[in-house]
Order: sequence, then C-alpha cells, then structure tokens
Amino acid sequence: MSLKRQDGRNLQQMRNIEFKLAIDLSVDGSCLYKQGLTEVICLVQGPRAKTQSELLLIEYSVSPFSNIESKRSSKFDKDYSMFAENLKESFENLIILDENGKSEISISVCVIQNDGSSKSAVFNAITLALLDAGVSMKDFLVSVTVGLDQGNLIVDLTQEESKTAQGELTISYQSRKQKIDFYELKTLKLQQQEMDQLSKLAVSKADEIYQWMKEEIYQIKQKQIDQ
Amino acid sequence: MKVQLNSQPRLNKRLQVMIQAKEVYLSSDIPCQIRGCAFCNQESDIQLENPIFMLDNEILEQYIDLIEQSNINNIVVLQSQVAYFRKRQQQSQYAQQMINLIESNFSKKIYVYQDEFSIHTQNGNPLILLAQWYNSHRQFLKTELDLCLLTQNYQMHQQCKNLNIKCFTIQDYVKLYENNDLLDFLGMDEEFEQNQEAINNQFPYIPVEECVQQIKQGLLFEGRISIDRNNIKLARIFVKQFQLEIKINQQNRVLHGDRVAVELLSEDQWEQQQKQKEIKFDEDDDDDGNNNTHTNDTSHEIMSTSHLQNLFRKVQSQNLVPYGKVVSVLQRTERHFCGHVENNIFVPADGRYPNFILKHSKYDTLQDKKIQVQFVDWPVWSDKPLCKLKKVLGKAGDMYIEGNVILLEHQVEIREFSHQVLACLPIEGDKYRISEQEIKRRMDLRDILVCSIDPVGCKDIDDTLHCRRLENNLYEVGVHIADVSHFVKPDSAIDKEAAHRCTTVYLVDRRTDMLPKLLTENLCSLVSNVDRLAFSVIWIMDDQANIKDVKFGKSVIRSVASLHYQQAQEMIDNPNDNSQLTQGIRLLNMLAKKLKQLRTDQGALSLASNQVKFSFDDETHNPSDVRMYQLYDTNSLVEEFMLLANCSVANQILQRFPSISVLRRHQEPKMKQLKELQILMNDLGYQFSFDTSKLLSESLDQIQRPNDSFFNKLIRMITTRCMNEALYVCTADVDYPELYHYGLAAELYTHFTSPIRRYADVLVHRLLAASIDLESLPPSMSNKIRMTRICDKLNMRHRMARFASRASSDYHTYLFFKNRPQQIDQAIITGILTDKVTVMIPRYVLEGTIDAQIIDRMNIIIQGTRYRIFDYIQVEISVELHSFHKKIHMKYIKNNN
Amino acid sequence: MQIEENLHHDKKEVFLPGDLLSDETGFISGTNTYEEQGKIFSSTTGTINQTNKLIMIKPIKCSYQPQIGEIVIGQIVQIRDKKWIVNIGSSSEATLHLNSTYLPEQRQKTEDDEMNMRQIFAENDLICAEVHSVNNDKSVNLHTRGLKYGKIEDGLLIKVNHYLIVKQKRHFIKLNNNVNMILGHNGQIFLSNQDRTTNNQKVIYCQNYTVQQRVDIANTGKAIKFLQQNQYKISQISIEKVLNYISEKKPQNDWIILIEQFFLEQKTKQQQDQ
Repeated sequence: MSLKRQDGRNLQQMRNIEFKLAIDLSVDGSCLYKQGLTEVICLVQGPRAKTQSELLLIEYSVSPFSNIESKRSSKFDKDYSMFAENLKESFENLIILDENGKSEISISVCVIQNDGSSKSAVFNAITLALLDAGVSMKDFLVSVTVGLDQGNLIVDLTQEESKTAQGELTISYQSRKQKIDFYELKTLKLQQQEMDQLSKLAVSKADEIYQWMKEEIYQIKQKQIDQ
Repeated sequence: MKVQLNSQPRLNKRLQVMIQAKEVYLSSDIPCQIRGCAFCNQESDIQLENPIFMLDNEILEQYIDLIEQSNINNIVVLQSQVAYFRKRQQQSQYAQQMINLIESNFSKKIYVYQDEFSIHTQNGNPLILLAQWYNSHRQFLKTELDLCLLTQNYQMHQQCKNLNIKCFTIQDYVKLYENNDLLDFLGMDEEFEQNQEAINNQFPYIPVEECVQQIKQGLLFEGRISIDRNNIKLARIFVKQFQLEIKINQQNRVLHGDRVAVELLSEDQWEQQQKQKEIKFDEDDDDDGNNNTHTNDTSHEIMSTSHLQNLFRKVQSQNLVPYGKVVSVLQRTERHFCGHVENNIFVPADGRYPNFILKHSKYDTLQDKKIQVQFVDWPVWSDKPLCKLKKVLGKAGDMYIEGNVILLEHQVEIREFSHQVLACLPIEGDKYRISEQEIKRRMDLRDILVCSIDPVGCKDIDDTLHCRRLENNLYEVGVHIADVSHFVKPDSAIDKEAAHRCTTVYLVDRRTDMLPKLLTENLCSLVSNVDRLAFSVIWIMDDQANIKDVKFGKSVIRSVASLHYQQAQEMIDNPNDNSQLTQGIRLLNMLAKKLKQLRTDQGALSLASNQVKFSFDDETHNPSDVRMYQLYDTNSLVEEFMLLANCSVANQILQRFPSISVLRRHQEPKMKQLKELQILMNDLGYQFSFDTSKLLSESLDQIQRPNDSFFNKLIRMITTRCMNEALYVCTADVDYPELYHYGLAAELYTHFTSPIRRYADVLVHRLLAASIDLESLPPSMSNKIRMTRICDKLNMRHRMARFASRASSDYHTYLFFKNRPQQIDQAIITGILTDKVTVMIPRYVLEGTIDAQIIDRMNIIIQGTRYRIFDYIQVEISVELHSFHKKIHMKYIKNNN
Repeated sequence: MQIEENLHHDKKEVFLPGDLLSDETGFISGTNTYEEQGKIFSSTTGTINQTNKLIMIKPIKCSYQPQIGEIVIGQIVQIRDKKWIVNIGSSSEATLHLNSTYLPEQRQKTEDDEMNMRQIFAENDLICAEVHSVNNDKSVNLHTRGLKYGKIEDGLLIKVNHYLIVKQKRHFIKLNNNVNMILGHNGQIFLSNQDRTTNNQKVIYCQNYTVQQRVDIANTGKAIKFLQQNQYKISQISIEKVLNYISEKKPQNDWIILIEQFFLEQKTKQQQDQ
C-alpha cells in the first residue's frame, strides 16, 4: 500500500506552488508566493541611490496572524534575526552588487501565512521578486524543506508534520553551480546515514523545483516580450 | 492532483477559537487491492478475493464477533471508519475490539481504503461511493467482481438499490448465507420487541438534542453514572462543571458508566447528609422553599445561573445531597460483560451491573458456562436490559476460566501473541547465541561474579548484582538489567504489542505476559551460567555508600548463581561460608544498609501493603494457606540497589532529554485523610506529624505498642491508604519540582529495572541508550504528545493490572475460606464508622465490619463489652464473593479471657 | 544549460539569470552579463543583443538607467558643496552642479550664489532636468540650463514604471485638453497648466487654475494611472487616445467603468490582430 501523509500527499510530493509576479507596481519588483497554505510576500526596491551604509538591506518579518498560535514575533527574537542574517549572506553572494558601492537594493519579505516550510518559501519568494525587479544576479536560488517523520523521508513539511518530525532540513541551493548556500537542520538526534539521505533528497528536490520555476518564468517573460 | 481545502475550528493555547485551514490532496490512484487487477498493479501483501464485503459502522461495532466467526473473509474498511474507532478506542471496548481485528488479522484479509485521500469518495456517503467505484472498476479485473455491502441503514439500502449495488442487512445475510449457529449472535429478533406499557419508575427518555439544549440552560445536569459495588440501587453522578454530586433515586434504566442527563428533584425530597445539622436545615428551609418551586416550571429564565449559584451555595453550606432522576442516557457505556447464565437471565460478574435478559436458542448449552455478552437495548417495558451473546468463555468454577474472567473484566489482553509478533523474535529460538559482533560492541563482564536474588520460583529474572572491593576503600557495585530493548526493536510488531499490553499481569495462579515466553523466561531472563545481554549501571562507592562515579553501558554477563531471598540470607548468615560470591553479597548487604539509612534520613517512607501469599494444595490446586509476605534482609538488599539504579538512570535521561523522558512521580498524600489519622493518633497519645515525608516517617517509626509488632504495620497500612498513586509522567507535562517522588524522597525516579514485565522500563532503556550515544532515539519517542499519551496508557494499564491482581487474590481468599467454614481468629479494631467498626485479622490481612454501638471516636460497645480502638477481639470469619471482591462476614465472639 | 543557436538569436528569446550565453573564447561580456571561467552568463532577465564580439542582455525590466539627453524629474535630497543631490530613481545618485543651473543673467557663479543655493533649489523641491553626462561609476550629472528646466511646482506628479515611457521627440507636451505634461524618462510625469513648450519665460510663472483645468489634469492623471496598471506604453498618443475615448463617450459619473471598457476594447482588438 502506498503510504500517504496526513494531508493525502505521497511521501515525496511537494504541495502545489503558485506565484504571482508584479503584484505591487509601486515597487521595482514584487512577488506573492504560495506553497500550499504557506504564503509569503516579497517586495524589492532598487537598485537605487544609496540612502544607508549597506548595499543590501533585507527585512524579514512574520506576521502575527500567520500562525494559529499567535506568537509575537519581534526583531529581537534570536531566530528571526539569525535567519535575516542568513538571508543576507545568501543573497549577497548571489546578487551582482554595484562595484562602486553607490546603489543599494532593499528587500522586504513577510510570511503572511505559515503552514510549515516557511523558510524555504521565503528564499523562493525573494528569488522570484528579485527576478521580477530585474536585479542582476548570478543564478537562481531555490530552497526546499525535507524531513524525516517516523522513518519516512518526506518533502515540504506542513506545520503539523514539522511538529512531529524527527528531523527537519531546509537548504537553499544554487542549481547551476550545484552549491548549497544555506543549511539548517532541526533535529533531536539523527544518524549520519539519515542525514546523508536527507541532504541528497533535498538537493534532488531543489533541482526539480529549479527546473519547474525556470520553465514558468520563461513562459511569463516570453509572453511579455511578445506583447 | 486535486486539492480540497478543509477548515475546522480549534482552540489555541490562549483558549481562543481559531479556524484552522487544512489542505487535503486527493489522488485517483489509490489501488483496489483485488487479486489480478490490471489497473492497480501495486505490490502489496493484501490481495482481496471474491466475495468482498463492506460493512457500515453499526455492524462493525455491534456484530464484530459474528464477523469474526463468519465466512466473511475479504473486507474493505474505510480509513475514516478506522479513524472513528481509533478515536474512541480508550473509552469503548467495542472500538478496541474493532481496532484489534484490523491490526492483527490472521484469518481475514482486511484492506483499509484511504477514502479521505481518494478523489472517488468525496461528497457523499463514502461507502456507497466506494462501492460504486469498485463496480466501475470491474473492467480491469480478470474475474467477475462480487462485492456486497452490509448495512443496517434503510436509506443506504434504497440508494444501493438504485445504483445496482448488492446490499443486505446483517440479519438477512446471516440467514441466507451463514451457518445457523451464528443466529444466536444476532441478538434480539423483531418479534420480541412488542409495544408494552412502561413499568413502574421507568419512563421514556427525552431526545438527546433536547437534553443538550436543556443542559446548556441549566435545567439538566450531565455526568457519568457510578453505581455502588455493593448496592446496585445506589447511584450517583458527579457534575464536573459545578463540582456537584447528585444522588439518583430514579435510575430509569441506566448502567454504570453511562453518560446521562439528570433532572434535580424538588428540594423537599432531598435527604440530609448528616443528621446533626437537622436543626440548622429547618431554619433555612422556609426562605429557600419558595425559589425551588420553579424547578419544574416552564419559565427557563428563572432557572438561570444566579439561581443555580444560590442552589450550589446552599448545597455546600448545609452539606445537602441533592437528589435527581435520570431523564435521558446520552451515551451508553461501551463494554462487554462477563458472567454466567441462569435460565434466560444473564448475571454479570461485576456487581455494578444489573441482570440482563439473554435470548438464545439453546439455553441448556449455556448452563454452568461463563459467557461474555454485549448490551443491546433496555426497552421501557422491561425491568432488565437485553443483551446478546458474544463469546462462550468456559465452565464456571474452573480456576482458569475464572482467571480469564478477571482478566477480561479488567481489560487485560489475553490473546495469544500473533505470528507477526513472534516473527520479531530471533529465528534460532531458544538456541539463540549472542554473536561475536554483538559481544564486541558491549562491555564484557562475563568474568565478574554476578548473581541474581529473586523470590522462589521466579522465571523472569530481570536483575542481577555484583560487588567487588577496589583499592582505597572503594567498592564497585553493578546492577545488570536484562537488555530487553535489544530484542524489542522500536516500532516493530512486538514493540506495538508490548506497548498495548504495557505490563505483565500477575494473578495468584498465573501471569499474563507482556512479551512472548521465549523472551521472558529464556533469552531475557538472566539465569545462571549462560551468557546474557544486559544493560548495566556501575557505581564506584566508598564504604559509606557515597557514590563517587556512575557509568552506564550495555554489557554481556554470565550469572554465577540464581539465588532466592532465603538462600541468599542463609549465605550471609552462615559464618563458615567465605566464598567469593558470599563475600560479594555481604558487601552488598552492608552497602544496602548504608543506602537505606541515607534514604531514611532524607525522609523516605517505608509503608506496608496488605499483599498476601497463597500456598497451594498440589492435588486440588486449591489454596491451602494464606500468609503475609515474609521479608528477609536480602529483599531490602535487592530493593535498595534497584532504587539506586532507577534514580541514577532518571537523572541521566532527564539531563539529556528534558522534555521527553518518562519518569515516575509520587505526589503528596491526601492531606484530609492524614489529618483525620493525626487526630486519632494524638488521642492515643502518639506524636504524629506529616508536614514532610521525613517527619511522617519518623512519626511512623515511633508508633509502637509493646508485645505487638503488627500494630506498627497496621498504622503503616492505614497511612498507605492516604497516599496518592505513583504515576508515570512524561516530563513535557510536568515542571521540575513536581517530579518529586514523595514515598521514596527522591528528586527524580523512574522505572528501569524490570523491562521484562513493564513497558515503561523498555522506554527508559531506549532513552538511556540514546543518552549515552549507543543508539539513536526512535522517531516515535521524540514526540512529546505521543509520549504523554503512552504515559497515560501505562498508568491505566498498571492500575487495571493491580485491580486484577487484587481481584484474583480475593477470589483465592474466597476459595480458601469456602473450604474452611467457621474459622475463628484474632482481629484488631481498625476504624469506626457510623454504626459499625472495621476490624482486621492480622494473620490473613483480611478486613471486615462488625456492628457496634458507638460512644465516641475512640470507644465502642460490642454486644455489651466496651472496647477502645485498636483493641483485639475474637471473630468468626466467613467469606463470600461479590463482584470480584471478597465480602467478609465477621461475627463477634465473646472473649472469655 | 546549452543553447544550440547561441549566436544566432533571430527569435527574441528570453534569458534568465545564470543562463549560458557563450562558452567560446573571444567574446566580450557586456552589460547585464558576467564572466566566469571564460564563459559568459546572463545576469538578468532579458533578450540577447550582440554586436560583433560584444554580448549583452537587454533587460525586460530593470531599474532606470539614465542616458545622456534624457529628461528626468527628480527630487532634491541633499545640498552639498556646490551641488545638489537629486533622486531620480536611478541605481546611483544624480548630482546637479551649481554651474549647470540656469540663472537669468548668464554669468559666472560667485560665492554669493554658493551661499544662497537653497534659494535656488531647496531640499524636497521637485526639479526637471536633463541628463548631462553619465560617469563611469554610473553616477549621473544633470543640468538645468534652459528655461524649460528648473523647479516645478503647482501640478500633479505621477510615478509610473520607467520602462513604460516611450522615447519621443518631445517630452514637454501640451495635450489636446490643454494640459501641459512633462514626460520624465525616469517614469515621473508632471502635469500642470504651465506651458514649457515655448521658450517664453513669462508663461512658466504660476497661473491660477480654473476648475476645468483642474478636472482636466485629474482626468489625465487617472488615464496615465490606468495605462500603467494595464502595462501599456505611455506616450502622448496613448494618453490622448484614452482621453478622446472618454470625451467621446461624454462621461457623466463613472469614469472607471468607461476606462475599463476602453481597455477591454483594446485587448479584444489586440487579440483579433493576433
């Protein structure tokens, strides 16, 4: 019997991903990204004349109503500030920043609804928004969350699953360079072998998403040009 | 893949209602699992064959025994049905049985169809939709499909007819296709149920929906009925919402454990709880009498909360007991009843349930048999409920069958182990040898002199000890526990079975194992002169028994001797025996005494239990003697080291897994009862304080009476009754200071030392192994919610196991006295009730009551002689068995001295 | 990813960041591309543009990249030594030097002028300027020499995506309905009643608005907004087209419905053409 997960998905099936570019025309680039019930909105401004000392500004927030257990998220929260820092590092490597240091790019990303795997959704949303803004960058960055739940390797965990999961791994991946940018593992205890399996699965899934996303963008942009 | 969005309300941590959305992915490729299907060719161990059956919930619940015995072999069950039963598994024995059938089916092929995730079974009755799908699936099958839907629902019959689906009721099906013997399992026929007048004191129930409305308005009260074991007429409910106890004077067809709606009677019908307060009650009566006329009034507004509050205040202030009558049963208790048959009347063994009417074609075959029945209905015209036969257990009076009845009534699993479980055992069976590879992974302690000390005849030896002298006045002490977790791998069939059984249940004449015999008596039992796998705790101690170092690890041991307590005691006492082993035991004994002293200094209690030991006549297997357990020094020796091991392990696992450890805690005793005891003891001239466990322990030590060693033990027994039950807890639920074990005065305590007979110990073994990085923690154990649920289950099973043991002990006491009428023995007065005193016979640890005149709380008069509490008297004993509990009749015999 | 016809891009094919443009040696990586280990990759989304050995990507959408001669509208951010910093929405800052401003008497700027810079343009003033030069580091120099440039006030500023602006001969436009429009290349459009199409200096001074003028300006603004929302190119022609459509239909109350109708018609027309 083929094993099904709590929501009827197969073990290694992603939730349905939808995204919409240019949702807000007042900024340079924007994206609404939905992965199942997880929703992330991302706005990109720039490159524009520098107003602050940094070349890349990333503002990461989680809306207080995103979780059913409404938790006050603050910028002083360690988890948030750490992740914002991680995001910045990842994208600093990716974006071709102005060598002269005269322009800045500011990204603001917000998790509107969190039903698990929100961090990987954040990565994907930012990538798409940057793409929409036409910011020059070296590559696509796609991210995926995989986990180990009761001995099964699963992909794209929902909130409920991540509560029970034994290990949860989020990676962001540059497909062309085959390079992992961000690696976050939440686990109580995991064996080496299991971890290798998880990493392998994550990379292969990220590749899959990369191909899919690229195809979608090609189509969208082709349409724009044809117009 | 189609996605469906469901939403359901949920409470969050702040108790706000939130709507939680959930996606469900519907797929179209869920296989049919029929043999030879060309379309769904997924590999599986279940391959259905014609004829295939689908059953509705009612049949699964009510006729499961019939299904088990019938020719229905290929069943498709819906996942939603399984979920429905699984949810009620804990409360309902019907659901439990159904789950058992699905989980461990050998004779039947049961396929659980995942209807919740299938695109074919949405928006409608899933059973019918699935049947329809199977019908349309026909084209892919090699053979013609023979699918049959069994349902008791008329509407479904109509729908099936329209859709061309074969459909029967269970009655029709049995009559058409099955053996006539099964007819008896169907229960009542329609002809039996005629419309008759309601008999006295019984009236039809109010519909449930109406009840729920009225409960909300405060007109009715909801609660679970509990009926007195000794008097079936005494029933009461406890309304949790208001902390209010209501006695029932019109039971109106309730069974013990039913959830009912109760209407209060008017206040003038209430009785008073205590006569002393009669005058006070009369004074207030006039004021409040007026309000109460509204009880049956139609104007609901007056019965609003303010009125209720008045009522409760009055009830509390005046110690009134409100009376009520049952107007509706919201939910019947769902359990099976064991008992015997007299003509067509079924007499349940549990005294809290009334006699049932049983319909059966051949009553004479059921004479003298113990049977199990299932409740069917209790019509308003009948003074007894109706039931139907479920299972014939065996001959009444047979000790084995009676034991079975005790186990069944306490929900102990008595099934044989399934072959899936047995398949998890080593293939070599009892010829299993530990592989070299395994030995290399472990500490090799085979050259250390290790021995076990257990009661006589113990076959499941799970602990062994060793001690040797090191330099610098240090000692190495090791406790080696059978490594059960090596054989019981997490999430295997054997693990699931053990988690279901939770504990080995000991009856007087046998035990019901948690694990298969091969493990308990052979591979895991640490018998002498064989290599065995063990989990060791090794301490380095100084001669004052202070722990210098502790080490945990899996090991291989070879026990040199399996001693029993008496043997070990003799070895210690024999001055000529100076073998190395004896010296080791002597060292252990010395350290154990130090440890005990340390423990007592911290305030550990030593309490007494009323456990008794039976010796059996070899020929008749009837009990030939009853005694209290005799305790040797060596008992305490083993106990001390086991306690120490448990404490050390508890510390270790809590440190590593603060949120998912399984610990055992013992809360503070019931203060109210202790206070009563304190007053009594103070009157007798003893100091008695219980502010801390240490003070209590000291108080207990100084309560002595010259020439009477039993008196101290008796007081300890009484104190034991004031104690709360020790419970398993998952550390996720409890904060640190509350983990305290009161009785042992230990900060942290767990169960580690008996993995053969307790599942909690297996869990602790896994935690410990993970905490020292030997093995990884199984995924199921890192889930807090699941661990909490397991702990609850462990507690429930342990309680049940204790009750079963007591019931068995009572049954044997009954057998013992049945053969010996008119025993006369000395008894001690232990307590004073309103018109009786309780007395206890020290020799058999039996307790009973004698009528007496009460003077005050110290003095009584029995048949003209004046006695004080805790005086000895002569009584004649006769014992009767009533709903698993011995009923002891004692007759006072005038003391001639 | 290998692209077979990597040098003959007859079809307008879209390239995404990270796509390989050329793996042969001898090509020069142009704008919006980057080189890594001898290979040239795209760094943004756009179509390829090759001249001889120079490969570059023409982006579909990017931030405003000023070119010499373009007319921009910007806001004064800062006043520094002899120059103003202007925000024109480009990737790096634009500066307006004191010497490049227009004074009535063409003369050398003195220290007095330097002291009184704030009287010419203060912070947050809107100015209209022309791109004078683009430096190597992409920073821009502006100038406001000429009567039509300089401070603009009393009008309506509309921000649209810069890529929607069609490059035309004239960017100071007088529309049919007598609304004067400055069509900034950087996506900022200024509507007012001040005529800058002539070099007549007097006209630039503020005149009081009539009610009709206000209505016209508002309508035009709305039309531009709608053009942006539907991602239509913005030019004199397209704006007038919308306005004509509206005035033909004689709008009573419901502007929005009419405009929506207009775009619907446009869309169906497009589809028919295809």
